Amino acid sequence: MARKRPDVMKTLADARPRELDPDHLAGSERARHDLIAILAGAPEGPEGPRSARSVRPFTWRWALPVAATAAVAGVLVATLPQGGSDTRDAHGSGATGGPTTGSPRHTPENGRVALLNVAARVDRAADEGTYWQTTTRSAWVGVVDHSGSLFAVVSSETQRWSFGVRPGTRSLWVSGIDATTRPRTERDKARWRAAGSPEELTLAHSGKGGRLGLRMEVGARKRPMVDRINSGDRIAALGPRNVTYEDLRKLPGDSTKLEKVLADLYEEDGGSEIRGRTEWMWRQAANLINLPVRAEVRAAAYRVIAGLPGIRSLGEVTDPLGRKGAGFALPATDRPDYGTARSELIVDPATGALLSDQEVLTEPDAKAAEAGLTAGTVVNYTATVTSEWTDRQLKTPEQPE
Amino acid sequence: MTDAQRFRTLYEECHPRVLAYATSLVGRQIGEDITSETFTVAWRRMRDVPAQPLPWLLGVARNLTRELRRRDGRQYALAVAEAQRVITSGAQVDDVAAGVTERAAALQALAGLSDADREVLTLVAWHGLGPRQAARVLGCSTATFSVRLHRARRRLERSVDAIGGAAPGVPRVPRVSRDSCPTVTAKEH
Repeated sequence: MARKRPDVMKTLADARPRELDPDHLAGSERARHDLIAILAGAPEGPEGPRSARSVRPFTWRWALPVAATAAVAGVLVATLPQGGSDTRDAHGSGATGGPTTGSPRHTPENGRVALLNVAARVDRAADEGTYWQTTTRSAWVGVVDHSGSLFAVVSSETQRWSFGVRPGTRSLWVSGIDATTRPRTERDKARWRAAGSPEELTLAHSGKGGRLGLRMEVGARKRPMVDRINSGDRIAALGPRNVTYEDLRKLPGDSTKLEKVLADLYEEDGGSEIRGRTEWMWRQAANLINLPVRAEVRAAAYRVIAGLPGIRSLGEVTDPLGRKGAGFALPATDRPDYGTARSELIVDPATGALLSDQEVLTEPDAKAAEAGLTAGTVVNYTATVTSEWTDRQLKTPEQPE
Repeated sequence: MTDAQRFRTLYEECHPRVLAYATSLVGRQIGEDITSETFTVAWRRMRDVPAQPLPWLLGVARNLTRELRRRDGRQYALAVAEAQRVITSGAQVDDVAAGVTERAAALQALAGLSDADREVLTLVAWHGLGPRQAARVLGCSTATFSVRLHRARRRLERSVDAIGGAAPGVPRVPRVSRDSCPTVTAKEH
């Protein structure tokens, strides 16, 4: 009964209604408007009006990009009895494959115990001022495919955050300080030169779903950008919500209750935009540790992290700025840009501060390997340089008024 | 700033495809909103956007439509009906080109399949994803997706056969909310 017919998938593809043809949908007025609205406050292009004076027109969702959630270190005092010897090169040169396999004694239990110890020793001293300010250094490794030549580049920048917690104060985010994009190693530099020293680069894993590019910025040519990140008294993002300082202070210091708060937010956030619940909880808890919350909440956030499945201690490691700390990691997961990688937090055992929030390659895929990345390469980090309470707003050349 | 540059490129390259996908789920109007929301999420989470961004973006858009279903079943049902209209409208083109009958039959058959089958088939046939990418959108393994695709394709073929020589331009009434939004049936507005 089956008569001869063309491939049904081909027929179906040919039958796609014109209203679903991306070419037909491209370049609408609405699309342009949305792009402007979304990027408002972060202009690009030579004549873009400086955003410094404009408040982001939305009151929710992206007051704080997740990219910067590792901004602030908590004021913690902790000692970590589980210190190991799992040191490695954390500068991304990838000379060692250290973290791929942990030593046997770093069981998941050890990770949990070590973190619970951090939580137990959080400094309960009062800590408050008008502004909670932090400075971070962050970097991101990209695998570039230039006409078949693969090499790696590193984009890095310094950011400063200032959360105004008193009525009428502003919260500011200064980004792009000393921002550069350059070849990661000498070998990458040689390949980049051999490719004709292109300024416009295309990332290797773009695939047919779209092409992602970036521009080589060898010197710090661009000026930093200043954004006002509060909307009224809402100063920080907690999952899908923007919250006030009062909201932050009201968060529960009990880890079970805090986990419930975060779990509810996870549901509200539509679930799986970040790789699953564990990664989401990890990210939000780490975020909380860095925000101006009560010491009890920081402790609770550590306990929440300690309770995540698969958490493990890495012993003593070195952060991307060369500081020694105690490392914790989630199990590695697929990262389509690189292969497999895992999320790590590095905590200073002397001060308890969160030093670095990072992603470390555990197994490069073919393209990443071709570009010289190896197990142990830190492909993404945000390291906290300073964090403090102060009564003085940041001084910036382009401070919004 | 690198993030903003990346975002602009991402937007330029992927916006039409995300909009096409969202429109196929919930029609153009709601689809526009879902698309805005999707890129808003992407901007907020540039750090989490993989270098192959489309499956990630479609996954976000898909989550947002599910959120809509949960929040407002009635609006969702209307939006799905509109999407169905868009899909079956393709069958009504009075085109005399070769293959139009086959195409009309394919659309009719598609409209009669389950939401799950339709989703699997259109991710590949209309939105241009490979099995691996489509699996990422749906949050399942590539192997699982391949099995689902195989089965959906078989059902589509059988349905096309059943429709057989039905006159083009007379699509069956699509079964709009069949197993798509259980929340709707419980509510009377």
